[in-house]
Amino acid sequence: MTALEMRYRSLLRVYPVGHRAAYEEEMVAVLMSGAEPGRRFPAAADAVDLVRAGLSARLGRAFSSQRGTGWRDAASVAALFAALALAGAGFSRLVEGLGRMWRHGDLLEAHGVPGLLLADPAARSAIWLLVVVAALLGLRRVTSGLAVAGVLVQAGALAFWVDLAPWQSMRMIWMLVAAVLVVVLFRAASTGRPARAVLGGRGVVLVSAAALVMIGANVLSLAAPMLSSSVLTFQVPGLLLVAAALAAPSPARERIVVLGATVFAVQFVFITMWQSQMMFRTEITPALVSAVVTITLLSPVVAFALGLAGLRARERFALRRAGHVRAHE
Amino acid sequence: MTDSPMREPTFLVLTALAEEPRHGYAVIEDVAAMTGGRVRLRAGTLYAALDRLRAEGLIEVDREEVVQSRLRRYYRLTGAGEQALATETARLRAQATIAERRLSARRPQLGGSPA
Repeated sequence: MTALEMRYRSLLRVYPVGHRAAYEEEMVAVLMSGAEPGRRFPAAADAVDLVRAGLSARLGRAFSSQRGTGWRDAASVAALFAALALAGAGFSRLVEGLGRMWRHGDLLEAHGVPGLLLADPAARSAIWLLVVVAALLGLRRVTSGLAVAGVLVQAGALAFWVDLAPWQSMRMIWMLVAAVLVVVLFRAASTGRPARAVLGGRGVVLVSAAALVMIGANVLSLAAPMLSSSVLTFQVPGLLLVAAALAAPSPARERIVVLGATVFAVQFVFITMWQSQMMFRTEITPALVSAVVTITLLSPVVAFALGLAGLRARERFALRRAGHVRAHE
Repeated sequence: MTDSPMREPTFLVLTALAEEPRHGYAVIEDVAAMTGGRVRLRAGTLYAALDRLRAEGLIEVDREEVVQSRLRRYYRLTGAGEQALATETARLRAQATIAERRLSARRPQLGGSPA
């Protein structure tokens, strides 16, 4: 091997391993054919061209693997889960309101319109259940459109309560943030596979079961209030969703967990904050509102960053292990 | 893929392979000859194009030879490659025709304007 060939080969190390395995020999042949006799160092223009092409092959690979490793698939599933959580939040309020109305007569008269206060949870349950059904049927554009309508419904519900019951309005902030996340996730998923294709048959059954348990448990608590418990309306459906996520195939699975946790963080952080805030029963001040909004907006960002860091660490570990295995072979 | 215009190296590589299967260095020489020496593809650019065209199914490996202990891999155009080259050629021709027509319509005006 001449010095020139060795120098070309060391330049080719800029390329990813797979590319080198496929093309190194013929590229060396081309480079050597193009070199005039007596040349000892690669021409500067050739070297620049190789480094540029090699780096963009690396970047291109990283980019296409980002596209191919299931983020889009995971986004459609996480959006479906979040829509189901919002449907659950709406539905449990609706059932609670109905129960109160049946037991104590119509205390829910607003502006002289009986039952008007139930309009908010009714609209929320309806729109998010429609989103869930459309997503499960794989109707991508319908789902996206309904999710946008869901954001409008959440915003409208929040505005509806501002004067009537400011605390109630405050309490709905997380849902608006989660609703926006649903839209963003469905948008991100628009070129990936629909949720039901990602989840597979078993996953769809598990998600449907989660929805049915949530609806059934709420209806049960209406019929028999002493049986009402958050275990059936919240924890069991939640566990079914976790099971559905874990049943998804691997590149998407971990990302569904990360994105699902991102959405769940909004609710979890908000509810935690809410419960501590309620104990103090402080006045609603602009400062309080902006603090609550800021923390609610930050919670998915922080959760996503943590999830991403965890995922990277996990994949680096897996890659290193695969590397060791290959080295021993 | 065929919606956006092809980059020139891509177009020239496909044109080189449209005549006959060629190996890397033969593609470089043919492109240089076609363009009167204006375009001399470098190895990095050439293999970026070849790798992408293979991934898109526009070209495929025809055969491999070893000449003076150097690997020569010959590439040929696929049916899809033929189609892509035809589409791009039609696009370029349509644009060139418009440009030509407008240029010839300009000539009398230019001739009539005071110098």
